[in-house]
Amino acid sequence: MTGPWIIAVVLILVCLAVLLPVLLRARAAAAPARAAFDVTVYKDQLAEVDRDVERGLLTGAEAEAARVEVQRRLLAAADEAGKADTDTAGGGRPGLVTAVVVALLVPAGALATYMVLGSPEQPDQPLAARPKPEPQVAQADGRAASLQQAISTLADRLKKNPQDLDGWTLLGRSLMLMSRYGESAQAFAQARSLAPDDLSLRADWAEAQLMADEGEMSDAVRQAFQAVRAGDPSQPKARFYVGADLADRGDAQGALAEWVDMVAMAPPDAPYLPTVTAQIARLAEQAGINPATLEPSAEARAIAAARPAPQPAAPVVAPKGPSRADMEAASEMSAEDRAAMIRSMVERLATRMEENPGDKQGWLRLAQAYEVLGETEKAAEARAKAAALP
Amino acid sequence: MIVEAGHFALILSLFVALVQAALPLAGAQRNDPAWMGVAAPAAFAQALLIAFSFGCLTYAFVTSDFSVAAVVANSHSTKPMLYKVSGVWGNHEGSMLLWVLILAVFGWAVALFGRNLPPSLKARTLGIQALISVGFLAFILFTSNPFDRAIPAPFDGRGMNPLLQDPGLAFHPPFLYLGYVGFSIAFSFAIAALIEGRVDAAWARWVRPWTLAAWSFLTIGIALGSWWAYYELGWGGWWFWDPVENASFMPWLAGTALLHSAVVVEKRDTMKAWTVFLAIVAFSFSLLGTFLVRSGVLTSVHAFATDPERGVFILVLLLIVVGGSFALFAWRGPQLTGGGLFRPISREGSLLLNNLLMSIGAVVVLFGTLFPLFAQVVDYKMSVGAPFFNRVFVPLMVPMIATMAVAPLLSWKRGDLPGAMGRLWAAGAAAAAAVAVAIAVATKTSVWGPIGLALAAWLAMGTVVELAERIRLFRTSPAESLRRLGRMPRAAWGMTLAHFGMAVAIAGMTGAGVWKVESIQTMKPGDSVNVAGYVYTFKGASEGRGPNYSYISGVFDVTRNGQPVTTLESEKRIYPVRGMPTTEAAIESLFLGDLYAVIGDPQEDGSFATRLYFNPLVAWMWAGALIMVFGGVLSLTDRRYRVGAPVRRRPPAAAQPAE
Repeated sequence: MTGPWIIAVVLILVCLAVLLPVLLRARAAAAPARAAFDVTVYKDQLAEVDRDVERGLLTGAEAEAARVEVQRRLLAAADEAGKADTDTAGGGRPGLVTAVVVALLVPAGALATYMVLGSPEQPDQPLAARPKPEPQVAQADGRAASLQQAISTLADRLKKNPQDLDGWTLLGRSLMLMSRYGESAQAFAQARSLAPDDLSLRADWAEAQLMADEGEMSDAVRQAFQAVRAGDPSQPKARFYVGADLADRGDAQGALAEWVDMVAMAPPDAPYLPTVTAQIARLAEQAGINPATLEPSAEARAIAAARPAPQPAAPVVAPKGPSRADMEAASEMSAEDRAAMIRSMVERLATRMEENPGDKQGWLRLAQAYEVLGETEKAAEARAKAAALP
Repeated sequence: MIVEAGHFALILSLFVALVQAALPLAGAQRNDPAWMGVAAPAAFAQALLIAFSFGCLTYAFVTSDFSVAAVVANSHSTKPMLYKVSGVWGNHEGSMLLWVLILAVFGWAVALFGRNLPPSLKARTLGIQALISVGFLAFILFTSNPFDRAIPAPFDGRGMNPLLQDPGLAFHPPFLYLGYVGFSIAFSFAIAALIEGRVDAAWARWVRPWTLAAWSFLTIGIALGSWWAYYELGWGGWWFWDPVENASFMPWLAGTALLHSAVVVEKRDTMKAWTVFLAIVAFSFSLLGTFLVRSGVLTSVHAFATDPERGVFILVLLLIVVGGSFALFAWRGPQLTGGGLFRPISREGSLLLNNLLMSIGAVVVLFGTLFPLFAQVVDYKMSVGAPFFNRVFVPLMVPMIATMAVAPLLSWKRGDLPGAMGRLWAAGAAAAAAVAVAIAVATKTSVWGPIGLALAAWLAMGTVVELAERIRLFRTSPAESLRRLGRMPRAAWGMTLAHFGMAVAIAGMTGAGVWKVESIQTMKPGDSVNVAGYVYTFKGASEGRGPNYSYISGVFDVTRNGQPVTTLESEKRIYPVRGMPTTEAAIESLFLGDLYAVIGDPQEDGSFATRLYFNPLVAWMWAGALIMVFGGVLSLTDRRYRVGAPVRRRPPAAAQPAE
């Protein structure tokens, strides 16, 4: 506990030892006049001209012209230096008061700020010095390892039998659980190509893609969520992310409407309810809206009323905290990383398209990606390829 | 304990910076030597504290202390040691800490080497430097604190973006920052000069070496960045006019202009206000660059809006620094009148012309970078990409490069243009030859190919002609020429090398930009593809595991006219922690171009997607950049920067000469 304080005291003492002597030292004579510094430089320039002549870099005439110019400046400076001799006042005042003020304010300010920002009671926790993971954690690790195993077995099976819709869906969900969002999105995309009309799969894909993009909602993902929302108003994921997107664009009213409807239509034991309710409360507070005034739409009420007795909750991954957390993660990623990541993703898409040139949607997606990157020529090329397809 | 000590040291440095800003600036105003004297020791204390703090953060990364939030977010226990260390600055918080560390070390260097500066100028310069520190330290401590703790500590970190796990990128940000922050010195000097209302002779001598150092670092940083993009992104491209790249390119342009106008101030005592202006512009671009890269402002207005604290802080800081310094310039700038007069056709005149062209270029890049951002705010989608820059920026550079060869042959004050052009006949001949070669050899017809090569040849030969003039080659005995060559000042060598390096780099950019040959396909082991006369044969792929990634490695044999040239081995890596693939392009640099191969995803039928390129002259670009940097460093060691200080007692007649 006392460790950081000892270091803090040492740091303060070192600091004051460096700062204070100048203030306390008996005043030396006043510094040379201002123009004296100019004189030094000009003299050096004259010497440089001489050196250049000696080296044969300047002819006699050139050197003479340069000398005259420097000498003119030199004279002016020397003149000024002579005049300034009288007014070099200022020196000699004791700095004791200043020294005391610095010696008090610097440590006091630093300590006060540290009390607010720091966590002096927290020791270092280097990995090597930490106790082995507790059994619970070890178990979780074991579970992760066995899930890992199951995933690779499943992936191998799907390589041989790529028409297995349930397999791809399961793979996508498992990868999602492992936070391997990019691969998860790819698995869902495979599943979608087998069942293009399955709205729930489309929402799964969009969610995985959103996570893979570190919370940045791309147009493709936004379109997917909106399409699912239009096709099945009770699909919770679509409602949730359409709402999050609205909130993100500053439309708190619209976002709250989406989420309140979502709650109204949810089965009472839906695993995502607490998250969404908390989310509603937070956004309403931010926007200054009284949550009690929020009413679900007639459409949502109708759907909720028509819902049969509660069904067991589907094994969906609960929608993760809305974009706020994700956005924070994404904003922490530097623009550099993100640009690099986008490039690598576009590049992957481009490669895929070269291998599978019959995919019209893919070409459009690629064109869009190129437009985002500013590669308008490549974008036009991709659009032309898409247009050529039926 | 060590983490907390680092945190405390950083806070303490903020208060030391406050002292360093307040006392010397007030002291210079009141002409109080004691208060002014605080500047130097305070700069030392500040550098010491921030270095200690940076050391503590590095310790946390190296020991994988996952009780520190920044370590959790950006490190992982399985990461190789090199990347644990580079992870310190591979994220927002740590990189900002590196930024202030460099700032403080530069401030200390001014205090250390500034004996020959007039005391009030030195005090004001260090005071301004400290004000910048205060802004950044407050930004770090209150909005992006690298010492925030994550309690309870998770058992492992989230890992670093795998694209960043690469030696090229590990050392790219420090060089960029050394460049960005280096311009802060020129800026502080400029503001100090504005406050004083005068530009001393010593001022001019001081601004140039600092700018030169900053410029050299920035050049290395940009070259490293584009080299990384070239081999890691696996597209065969090296410059994308991406906002992040533009952010480092704008200060480079302004800094290059500053470098040249500082020469005029030093030699001719004129163009002072313009030089001060450029110093402010160069640092403003550096600040903008730092924040564009680090805040994510550019890529997403949304991300900016979700983190208002950081965004608002950045905006206010930018407004104060940029707006404040320009306001000061508008008020005090007109007082900085110069002495030397010159004709339009003279070395000063041509330097000014190129200064203007480079400044316009920087404004064009600024416009192209920021316009999409503003368009996004008003929900109007548009992108400004490479075509815009190629159409607007590149033509601007043509007259600039053309002038670059002529300017060194003009004399100061009043130049003899016909005479200079007459002496450049060799350069003209070289340019014509380059056009002929470009047209004869070209695989694709393009206007820019011959123009680019002609400019490169013109500049290279023009630089050689200037060197020959200096040593009177063929006009005096060879022994005399050799003697002159040996005695040339280093600053002159610096210019010759930097200009020659630019010519080499232009040749590289032209070759790789205009005549790149690419081929994208799927290949089975044994398949061959002919790319620009080189036959790539795919030998097969294997899988394996690296320290924290798994990879697929593809091997290609390359032959030309049946003769084996080389064997290329490209990797596609997958980092499980982030589930992200990266490519490691296989590159063989030949004199006339690079052989470049990338292996992609395996296909169902056992073939692999591959991308094969021939990039003509591309390595010349980085070679040119290296030559330029070498020139900068050589010029920096020139003896004229070692001016002595006047002795402490009057009369000034007793001032000691240099050395």
